[in-house]
Formats: sequence, C-alpha cells, structure tokens
Amino acid sequence: MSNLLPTIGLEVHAQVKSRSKIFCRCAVEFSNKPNINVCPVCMGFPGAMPSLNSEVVKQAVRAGLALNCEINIVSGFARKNYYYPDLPKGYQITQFKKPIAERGYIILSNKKRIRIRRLHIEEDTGKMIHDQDEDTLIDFNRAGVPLIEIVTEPDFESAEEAVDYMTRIREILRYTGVSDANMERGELRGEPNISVRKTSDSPLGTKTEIKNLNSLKAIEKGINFEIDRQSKLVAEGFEVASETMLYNDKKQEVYPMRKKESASEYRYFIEPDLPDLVLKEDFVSSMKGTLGELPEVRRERLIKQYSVSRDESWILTSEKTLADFFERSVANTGAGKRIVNFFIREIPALLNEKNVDAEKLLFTPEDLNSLLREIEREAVNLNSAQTILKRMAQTGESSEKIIRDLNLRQTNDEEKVKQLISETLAENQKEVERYRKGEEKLFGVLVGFCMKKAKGSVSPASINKHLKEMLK
Amino acid sequence: MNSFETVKRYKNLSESPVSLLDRTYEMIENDDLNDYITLTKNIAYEEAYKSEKRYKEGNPLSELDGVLFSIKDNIAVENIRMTCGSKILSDFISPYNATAVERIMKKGGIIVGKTNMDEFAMGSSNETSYFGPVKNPKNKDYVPGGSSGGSAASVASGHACISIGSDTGGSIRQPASFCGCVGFKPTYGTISRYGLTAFSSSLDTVGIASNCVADSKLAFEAVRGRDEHDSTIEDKKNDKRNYKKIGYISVIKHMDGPVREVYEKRISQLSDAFVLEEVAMDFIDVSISTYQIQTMCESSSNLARFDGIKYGLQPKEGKTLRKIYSAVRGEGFGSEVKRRILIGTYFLTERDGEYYELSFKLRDYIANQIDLLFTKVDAIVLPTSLTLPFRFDEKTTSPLQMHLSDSLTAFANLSNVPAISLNGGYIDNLPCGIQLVAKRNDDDNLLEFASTAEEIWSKNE
Ligand SMILES: [Zn+2]
Repeated sequence: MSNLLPTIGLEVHAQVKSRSKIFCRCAVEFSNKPNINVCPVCMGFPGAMPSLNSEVVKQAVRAGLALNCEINIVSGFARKNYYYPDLPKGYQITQFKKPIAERGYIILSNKKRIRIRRLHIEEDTGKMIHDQDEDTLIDFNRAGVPLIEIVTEPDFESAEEAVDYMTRIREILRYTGVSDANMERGELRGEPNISVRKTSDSPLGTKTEIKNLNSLKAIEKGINFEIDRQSKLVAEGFEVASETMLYNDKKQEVYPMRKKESASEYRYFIEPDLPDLVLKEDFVSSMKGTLGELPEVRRERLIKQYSVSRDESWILTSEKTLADFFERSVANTGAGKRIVNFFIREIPALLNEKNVDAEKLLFTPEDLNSLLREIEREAVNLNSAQTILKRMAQTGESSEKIIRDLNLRQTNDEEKVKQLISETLAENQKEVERYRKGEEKLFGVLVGFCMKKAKGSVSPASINKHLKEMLK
Repeated sequence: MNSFETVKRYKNLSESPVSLLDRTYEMIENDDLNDYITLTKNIAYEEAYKSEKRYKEGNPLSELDGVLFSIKDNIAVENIRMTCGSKILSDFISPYNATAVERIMKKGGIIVGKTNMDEFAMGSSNETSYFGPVKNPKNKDYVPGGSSGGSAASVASGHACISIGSDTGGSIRQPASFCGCVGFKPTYGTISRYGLTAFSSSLDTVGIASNCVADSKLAFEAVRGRDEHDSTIEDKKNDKRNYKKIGYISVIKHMDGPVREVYEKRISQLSDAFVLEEVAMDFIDVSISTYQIQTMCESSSNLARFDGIKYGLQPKEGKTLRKIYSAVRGEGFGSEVKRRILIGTYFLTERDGEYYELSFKLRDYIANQIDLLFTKVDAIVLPTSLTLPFRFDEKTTSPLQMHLSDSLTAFANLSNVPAISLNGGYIDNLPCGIQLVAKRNDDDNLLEFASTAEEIWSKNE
C-alpha cells in the first residue's frame, strides 16, 4: 500500500500586510466585531467599482522577487464567478491568465528545490459563522482583504516536505514584511493537491485537493491521511475521484466535500472594471533593494560571522525579530562562544516561556548588550547572569541596577582576590597541608571553598590562577 | 426649456428654483407618462432653498445652479431608493452617491427624481420595467425607447431640464430619438461609472439627455474627468478643430421609409457647410451579435450580486442556499433579464469562454474599421434608429426584432467612440433622431459639430 508514490502540489494564500483593503479604503484589522470594516465596494453594492490599492502591488512584487519569480511588467485582473453568500459580488476579483509573477522557486531545508508556478493578487471573501441556533451569519470584514496566492508545481514527495515548504514561505513572508503569515489567524493558508502513482515513470494519478487545513500539523495529518486513503483505493482496484476534500480537525481525517471544479465552471473572464496592471521597470528593480536579508542568506552569514553551528543558525533565524535581537545584543562585543551560547540557551527559552515575540520583551537588545558585556569581561558569572536575565524579563530593570541590588558583581581586583584566598586557606588549614603533601586532587575542593566564600563575586578563573600561586 | 433660459430667469429673479420645482412636481403628478419611479422631493427642496438663497445673494455656484436634473434609476443617489427598474431592488436604498450625481450636486444641480427604465437597462422600449412602461410624451400610444426611456421622456416633457442616464448600446440615443430630444454618449472612460449599476461594464457609459446640445455640453463638463473610484477613466482630449468632411451612408438594411426621408433631408442640408462623403459601414452587421455576446456575458456576472443575502428582495422561504437563490432571483428578475443571464452564463461556460474572447476580437475589428473611417472623414452622420417609435407590445414578442433596435447605435459602444443623437424632425408627429459619431476622445469637437448641425437644421425646419 505505502509503496505508491505521492505527488503533491501546494496552493498557499497569504494575507498581504496593508492598512486598507485591496479595492477600497476599508481598514484591515483583526477584530471581533463583525461587519464594521465594510463599504459599498467590498459589500458589492450596485454601482460600486474597485480601485486597486498600490501597496498591495508593491508587496506582491516584493513577494515575487523574494521567491525568485519573474515579475510580469503587464498583468491583468479577471473575475472568478461562483455563487456563495460570503462572496459579495458573486465573483472574486483575481488574476488568471496574466499573474503578476511567475516561474520562481524556493529551497527546502533538505536542499530540494521547489518550483513556484505563479504568484498572483486577489481579494479574500467574507466569513461564514454558524451560531448555536443553527443560523448562519456572515461577517464581511474579511471581504476584500488583500491576498497573494502562491502556486507550486507538484514537486513535493511527502507531507514533511510540504510542511517544510510552508515554514520556509512563512519565514520569507515575515522577513520581507509582506505578510504576518500567522496561521492561527488564517493569514497563511495552505491547500495541497495530492495524487498517487505506482512508479515515478507512470503518469500522474487523479488528484484531490484538501481544504480547511489551519495549522502545520493539520497539513501534515491531512496529507498523510489522504495519501493513505488514495493508496488503499488504488490497491483495491478503485479509481480516485477528482474531488475537493475537507479536513476535520477534531478527527484528523479528510472527507469528500464536492466534485472538483474545472476552470470553465468558474467562467473566468477579464475584469472590465480594472485596466491592465502595468509596472515600471525601475519600480520593480527598486523593490529588489527593499527585500532585506532573506533567511537562508542570514543563516549562512551568522554561521560565518559568529561561528555558530548550522542548528544554532536555524534557532537564531526562526524569527527575523529574534535574529535582529541577537545581532543587536552582541553588537560591539567580542561575540565570543560564551555570550553567544548564553544567548542561544536563554533567550529562545525565555520567549517560549513567555510566549512573546522578541520585540515584546520588557528589555531591549541594548539592555541585554550591557549584561553580555559583563559576562564577557567576567564581571558576573553565568549563574548570576541567568538570575539577572530572569529579573530583567520580569521587571524591565537594567542589568546594572540588578547587579548592584543583588551584589552580583565579580571582582578581578588582585588584592581582593588574594585576600579572600588567604582567608579561605587560613580557615581550612588541614586541607591545605594535605594538598601540600601531595594530595593534588584537593585543589578542586579548595577552589570550591573559595567560591563559596566569594558568593559569586569572584570569577573561578581568577581564583584558579591565584590559588595555584598561593599554594606553592 | 433649456438651462440657459432657466438660469436667466433665476438671475433676474423672475423665477425661483423653489417655485420652478413646485410647478414641475405638479406637472409630473398630473401627468401619466410614468417617467419617474421615485420623486426625490426632500433632497430637491433642500437644495432648491439653498439655490434660491444663492441667487438672491447674487452668488450662484455655476451655470447649473438650480437647474432641474432627473437621474436614471440605475445611478446611485445617497439615501434614495434605486430600483434599476427591477422588483429585486424595489426596496433598495443606496448608501452613497454616484460620482456623476456628486458632481452635479456640487454645481448646484437639483435632483427631481429617479427615472423609469428597462429592467437593469435591458431593453429598447421601456417595456421590461417592473414599474410599468413609460409613455412617449409626443404620442402616448407609443414607446419612448429604452433603456433610458424615463430620462428622455422626462426631458422631452419638461419634467426635468437635463437627465443623467446610461448608454450601453444606444440606451440614451435611441430614446432621445424616439422622444425628440438630444442624447449624448461620450467616449468610454470619460465619465466615471462609479455609482452606475453595471449592465455590461466594458460598454457602459454614463449618458446625458437634454433639450439642446448646449445643455449636454454643460452637464458633460460638470461630470467628466478622473475619479479615484473608477480606474478606467482617462482625461484624454483630442485637440480642438473644426470638422470639414462628413461621412454618410446610402445603403442601410431594414431602414424604414420615413427615417430615410428625414435622414436624406438632413444630410443634404449639411452640404453647404461641409464636404459630404459617402462611406461604407459593413461592420454594422457583425456589431449586433458582438454586442449581444458581450453584454450577456458581462451582465450574467454583474447581476450575480443580487442574491437576497445583503440587500434587495428577501427570500420569504427557503432553508437551503439553492432555495434562497432561486426564490429571490426567480421572483425578483423579469423574463428578459433571466433570458440574458442564462445566455450569458452559457457563453462564458461553453468552450472555456472562447465566445467572449472571440467577441473581443470582433470588437477590435470594428474599432479598426471605425479608426479607418475617421482617417477619411471627421464625423459620420446616420439615423439613430432604423424605425420611428413603435406602439406598445409591437415588438415584445420578438426579442430579435427588439435587438435590431440597437443596430445603428451599438457599434459606437463597441469601438468606444462618442456619439450624439439630435432630433431630425417629425413624421406624423413621431420624432426621428439623427446621430453624429466621431472618433475616440473627440467629444468636445463632436459637441461643437452637433451645435452647428442643430443650428443648420433648426433654420431649415
Ligand atoms: Zn470597503
């Protein structure tokens, strides 16, 4: 059964970050109040006409460039006609024959290249809400929210690859600021199409499409469920029907929803209310300069610049805000292994625990920078640093204040260290004598005594150094 | 009555906007033309009082201040019912103003009411209106033409000075011809369509009906030009020039004798002032089927929004979506509208919409032919309609006959050129319009030419 080969393609919808909707001036915001961001245009009132929001064009071009696409200087809009209550005009304005970008690719973490067939601009629909009285309510706040749709070639061979692709897309859209790409809020949605075949030489099987996959986990479960379902059908000698499937999140299963539509059922035709979208060459090239560093490039740079491992580079770049926070925190330090490790060990865990973005922490990268400098010049030890960081995250106080309040500063003042050591040695004469008689393993015990007495105010390195001399 | 006379009387205070409005409403209400679906008395009087004050202070807003306008009922006026002549919108209140309405009001124009029309502008006789047909003010046994029948009738009967209507294939020019007034369809993309309920978006233009060319010009100036709400508007104007060479056609299929009589007379009267040259317009034959496919395809999509979900006729019953749709649309649309939606849906579905794409090739062909003609002549003069006004029910049984009504007008929409219909005279008290057509973006020059023709023809009455 599982020796059948799956072929998977993905259609991804991402909500474009924009203050207003794509064809009107209504605000785009995540809101709980229904039907407040609406107007005659996005509600499909008679006589209302679309006018294109140029911010959306800009972001679509940037997304196209970030995904290595060719940008079409002339693209056009089309109507996709179908009846549904959440579709106010009875058609969706989208791009059909002439998308804004085509023929791109991205590289998965396993280095496999996934071809992107096209990227186009379109408007979102409203949202249907089924209440407890079995009434259906419609919220049009989402109607006309700008989307980009990114369509791949059927290049995936497993659910894992599809999930990795979603993660890469999410990362690129967030790095470039094209979209917040928050899957929980529906800002990023993936619809896989799946078919199975016996060998890589056999023709592609009949494909089905899965809708309602609202998380990476759902995408993985949904695809695997569907591969199994199709494989069973084929193994038992049945044919796979061309259907649109619906994923049930509770049962983690996939059910047929309806027969799959063909393009002619959508009666696509050119949108007469919008002229062709014509871009200027210099506009497109100027957009290239606005992309910033893309995640893959940044990982390579972090590995070189900070000598972090590949795994560590993935951790640091998981969010652009985290990578930014990291680089600002270690700025103007030696960025030695000690503080880089401290950052990697502590900060992601802290973000995870607080469930916030790096930007939302109570302390700034500059605040953290002063703590890291203290660590670097061994003015605080790592245990103390952990304590200081916790307190910074809780109260937002500066590291200096916390160090002062808790008296956590280590001293490297030679006289003071020597003083401390001689006091310790005087208190532990027995051990000192045994050591001097040849029990060298007692050196560590004596270091421990010194440390205990120092209560963190002296670095182990400097105790080590002076103790050796003073025991001679 | 035209706007110049009205404004002159306002200025010398021998008439006030309020008293003119009083008399006009009295006239409308005592008449049985059925040219208005909704009278907008509240906003009309509000504006009339303001206008009256301005004239008293010697401070009118413009040459249109206090001038009475009627608005076709497929054009949105804020907080006023907009039915589009259909049951499905019979209780619909528009929440916003069309750009054309907004601009008229800014100039001080007073909106008297919303005029009757063929349902969703689909018709040529005003007989498809849910609110009953409009009667021709020149002879009440006859149709006023369509689809802007109410607009033309309101102007021709003095129930308004100027009317803002729409023209998709002749909808302002043919009723102007039937009612004996002026009907102007500008170049596509010169007047914002924002607020005009879409029938066939690639062909729809806002049009103007008036009693003289000067009024059309004045209204055109007020409403034309760029609009942030309509991306298809361009401010293209050809250089000013006087026309010298005028084209005419001698062979027109299916033309009625009386129309030919008027046409030939009016053409010959132009020979003193212009060089006349016979031209061929063979593309008229393909223009009708091209027009049919385009309008039916686009309207099937444009009318999809009327589903009873957001506004308009509400379903009395129906638990499932399919039942709600069929209840609302089955009851709300008249048979002509349904017929066109069905055919349009068919054309867009069959062969992946190839028919619709092909119709654009034919449009290009027609536009090229027109362009070629305008390298030879400055304007073309031809009848507006093949026939004089016809009687009620004379053509309702034959949609094909009815569609022939657009024969001489649709090509101008298909090639996006401006055209204006003037009254050429009367045969047995029935008006007969003559149409002047010019090249794209030549609207100002065409209107100049129309003024000249109007003057020549009125001298030779
Ligand atoms: Zn809106």
